[in-house]
Order: sequence, then C-alpha cells, then structure tokens
Amino acid sequence: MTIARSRTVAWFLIIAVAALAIVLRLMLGARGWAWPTPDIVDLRLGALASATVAGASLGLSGALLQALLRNPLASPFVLGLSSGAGLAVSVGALAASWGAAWVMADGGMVAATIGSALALIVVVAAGRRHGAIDPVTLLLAGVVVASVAGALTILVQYLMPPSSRGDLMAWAMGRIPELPERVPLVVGAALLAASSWWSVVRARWLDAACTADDEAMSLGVDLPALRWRLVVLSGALAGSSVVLCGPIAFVGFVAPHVARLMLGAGHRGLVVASPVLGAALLIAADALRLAVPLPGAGKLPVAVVTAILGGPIFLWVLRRQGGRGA
Amino acid sequence: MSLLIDALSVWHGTREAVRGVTVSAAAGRIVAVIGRNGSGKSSLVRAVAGVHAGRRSGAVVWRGGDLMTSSAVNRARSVAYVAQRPLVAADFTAREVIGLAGAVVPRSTEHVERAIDALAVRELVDRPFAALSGGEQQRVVLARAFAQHDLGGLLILDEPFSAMDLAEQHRVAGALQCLASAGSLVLVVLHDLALADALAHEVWWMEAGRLRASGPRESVLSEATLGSGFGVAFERVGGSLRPIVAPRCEPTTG
Repeated sequence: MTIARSRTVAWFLIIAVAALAIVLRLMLGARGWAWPTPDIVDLRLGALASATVAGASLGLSGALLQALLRNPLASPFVLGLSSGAGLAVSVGALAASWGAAWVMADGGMVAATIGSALALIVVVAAGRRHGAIDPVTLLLAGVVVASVAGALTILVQYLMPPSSRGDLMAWAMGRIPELPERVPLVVGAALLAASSWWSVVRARWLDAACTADDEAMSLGVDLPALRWRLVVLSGALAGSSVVLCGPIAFVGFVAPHVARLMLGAGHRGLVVASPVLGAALLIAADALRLAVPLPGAGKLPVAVVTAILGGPIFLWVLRRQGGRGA
Repeated sequence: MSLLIDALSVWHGTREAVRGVTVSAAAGRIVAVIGRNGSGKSSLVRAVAGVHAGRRSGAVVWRGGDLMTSSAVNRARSVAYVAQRPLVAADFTAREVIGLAGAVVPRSTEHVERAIDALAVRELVDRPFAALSGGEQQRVVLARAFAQHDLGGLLILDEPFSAMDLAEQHRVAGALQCLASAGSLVLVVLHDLALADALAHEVWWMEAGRLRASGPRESVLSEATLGSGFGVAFERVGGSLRPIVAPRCEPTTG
C-alpha cells in the first residue's frame, strides 16, 4: 500500500513537472513573460513539439543505453552517440551542398541513425576488457569518440559553403527550432512512439538483463537479439534528437536518473517516466534559455543550459558509483 | 525422466574446456559436480543450462528435447540456473530480484511466495539487494531460481554455498533435498567435498575437461581415489551417521 501510494505520488509529480515546463515555455518568448494569445501559442507550439520529441527521445535513449550497458553513467551524449550523429548529419549536409541532395531527403534521419549507431559500436568495442564491458574504459572510449567526432564536425563546417555554414554551426550548438521541418518531426515522433511501445512490452526483459549474462539467458532472455535491438533503437532515438535540435548534452543521462530516484529501478516505470522527464527537462531548459538575458540580443544555446544543469549531476553519480566500486 | 548428456564438448575460444562428456542422471536425484579449479565443472553445467554463448557440440536431452537447440524461453520453462557469481546491476530490492523469475516466463505470486519461504528470506525481501551480505544474496538468488523452477524440473547451481555460513548451508541443503524428494533433478557444482558427501546422491568428477568418474557418491567419494585426484590425503571421521571427508595435515620434509 505504501509503495503503491508513493508511486502514485511520484507519477503525479512527474506529470506536474512536465505540465509546469510546458506552461513556462508557452508563457516565455523572446520578449519575456506574458500570457500567450492563441496566435502566439500556435507559434510556440513548433518549438514545444521539437523539444518534446527530442527530449523524450534522449530520455528513452538514455534509459535503454543504461540497460544495455548495465551502467548508470551511459547516455547518448557521454558515449559519443550525439556527436557521431552530429558528424553524420554534417557530412550529409556537406554532400547535399555539393549536389547530392538525396542524402538529406529525409532531413538527415538515416545519416544520424547510422552515425550514432556506429559511434556506439566503436565505443562498446573499445570499452571491452577481457571480453567484458569495463565502465571506466567505456567512458574514456566515449570521450574519445565524442572528441574526434566533434573535431571532424568542425572540419566539415569549415568545408561548407559560407552561405550555409552559420546555420549548421547554430544547429551544432543545440537549437530548438520554432518552425521545425515536418519530416524529421513526424518521423521522430513515430520512432519515439514505436520505441516506447517496444520498451514497455520488453520492460521485464530489460529488468532481467540487469543480471549476469548467463543468468539473464537462463531467465529466458534472448540476450544477443535484445542487445542488437537496444543498439539500433538507442542509436535511432539519439539520431532523431540530433536531427531535430542538434547535439544536446546530459538530458539522456539526467532523465533516467531522476525517474529511477522517483520510481525505483524497474523498467516498467523507467521507460515511461524517462521520456516524459526528458521532454520536460528540454522544454524547461529552452524556457530558461529565453529567461536568461545576454548582452546584446542573443540567447544562450539550449545545449549550454542542459550542460550547466547536467554536468554537476553527472559528477555526483560518478562519485556515487566510485564509492560502490563500480 | 532423466537428463542425458551425449558427447558434450565446450570451447572457450580455442581451448576445449569440456571434452566429449557423456553421462546421465535420473529425476529425483541431487548430483554434485566436483573437481579441481579449471577442471571444466562450471563450463559443463553452463552448457547444460544452455547459457554458454561460445562454441559447443554434442547433445543435452531433457524432457525429450535438446536443451542445446531450444529457444531461451523454452529452456527457461524447464531449467533454472544460478551462476557462480550472481550479479544484479540495478537498485532492486530482494523481492524484485526474486520476482525476476517471472520476467520472461510468467510465474504466479504463489510460486514466488513459496520460494521465499523455502529459502527463509522473508525478512530480507524489502531490503536493497546490494545491502545484503554475500550469503544472503546467494539465498535470494536461489529463491529466484526456486520461483522459476517447477517441481520435476531441472535446477542447476554453480557453487551456491560459497559465501554462506553453516546455518545457511544447512537450510539451503535441506531445501534442495526437499526438491529432489519431490522429483526435481538438482545439479550442483561444489568445492566442499564434505558437503557433497552429505548432500548428493551421485557425483560427477571432472578432471582436465573429462569425466574422471561418475556414479553413486559412496563409490566416487572414496579416500583413495580422492587422494590421488586432489593431491591431498582424506579420511572419514565422525562415524557412519554423518561421514565427513576432511583434508589431513601431511608433514613435509626438508
């Protein structure tokens, strides 16, 4: 009874936080606070939809990656997936500027998925020691992949025609579009819905996958098949968020952690709460970005806000994990 | 009903850890798998449980089906397994860990509650698994295997007593004997030969990947053969009711 009641309270809080973030974002515009008129609501719904799909995708991707690697430090940004997707989309944009427009016909969705999945495969391959995934080696591999992909992205930006370079650079710093392109938004929403459905259906398998490999298999989990699906889904979700809003740090890390603190470690709650909290976090970061005045008429990139919020939480979890000898 | 292992070989990379083992055991028995470190005990039981991911050959027949070619879900319906080093990489309570028995193949609440009582872990179920002692964790993981297990099925345990104190060992040994009496086949890897002598009906003795001996425990666990196989001398003490196989101090020269 107590557990059921506390879970009900936790769900109420999660929904309230998400609703508050939405209201905040609808009230905040480039010129400050105001009750929005219907016309302004229509305008802001584009940014709200982009942040919702991208934030939820990052939250779910983070929850799936943490299950895949049995590592609470895993997230699309820390493991270099976002940077890999960013590099792939930048290369696609460069190819399109050189005449191969078909590469970006889907808004870069396929390129981003391939980029993030490749980054994950490289990181996991480099992060293994004696046949098992080593958390510290994995994180270091993620840092290396993210750094290399980031450097190559800068090179690609340098090679871009000057007319489209500024747009690509703004996207690479994290930008929530008020007028999102229709194809990435719809495809991203469909991917998110399908991934969420699959994750709910397979939530108990993800619980069992938290045990040793041979015990998970003895419980009936087809572990190789489950892991490939997790690689593809977490890569596609991270790629989708990158296409929509650029590489955004720490949302995919923080959302599953907050969900775990509120609901416990079971994946039935985790795979639903993580995307809701991821969306709420990105919407709130976008609202905060608009609320913070900068010299001149500029506004903070949203990735800066999420990094400032998420970095300390990451260090706290890293320290907590170190204390457990992980 | 019996377990038939036919010409089973298991490789770790290029090393052949189990070499053409052929042996069988009837339901309702407890079989202790013994041998020195690296003799292939764990590789053998992991292959029988169907959880060895590497190369293997031969057949493991249980309930008329080959466990080596069954799907993971079908295997989980008839075989429960506990690894040598249980791992739970999530902040689950002990009850949530036991509940993993039904994560893929549904188990009733009654199954779970019966397992909790059989392993006497009711006072632990609301505590975080990570906060339990090694012996308590082993009992909780055993309770998960009991909850997954149907009477008459196959239960495979790889060194389940290694972190338990004597009282816990006594309790768990009793629970295993109850399962065997009810028709289950229990395959248990043991380093403690005294425990094997007290618990098992039959013994499979692995040496360098091969089956050195198998049969009723009285014939396999003799002082003479154990002495030559393990490189230390043994003697029986304590009379006929509770025989104990204990290592004897051998004076060295030089």
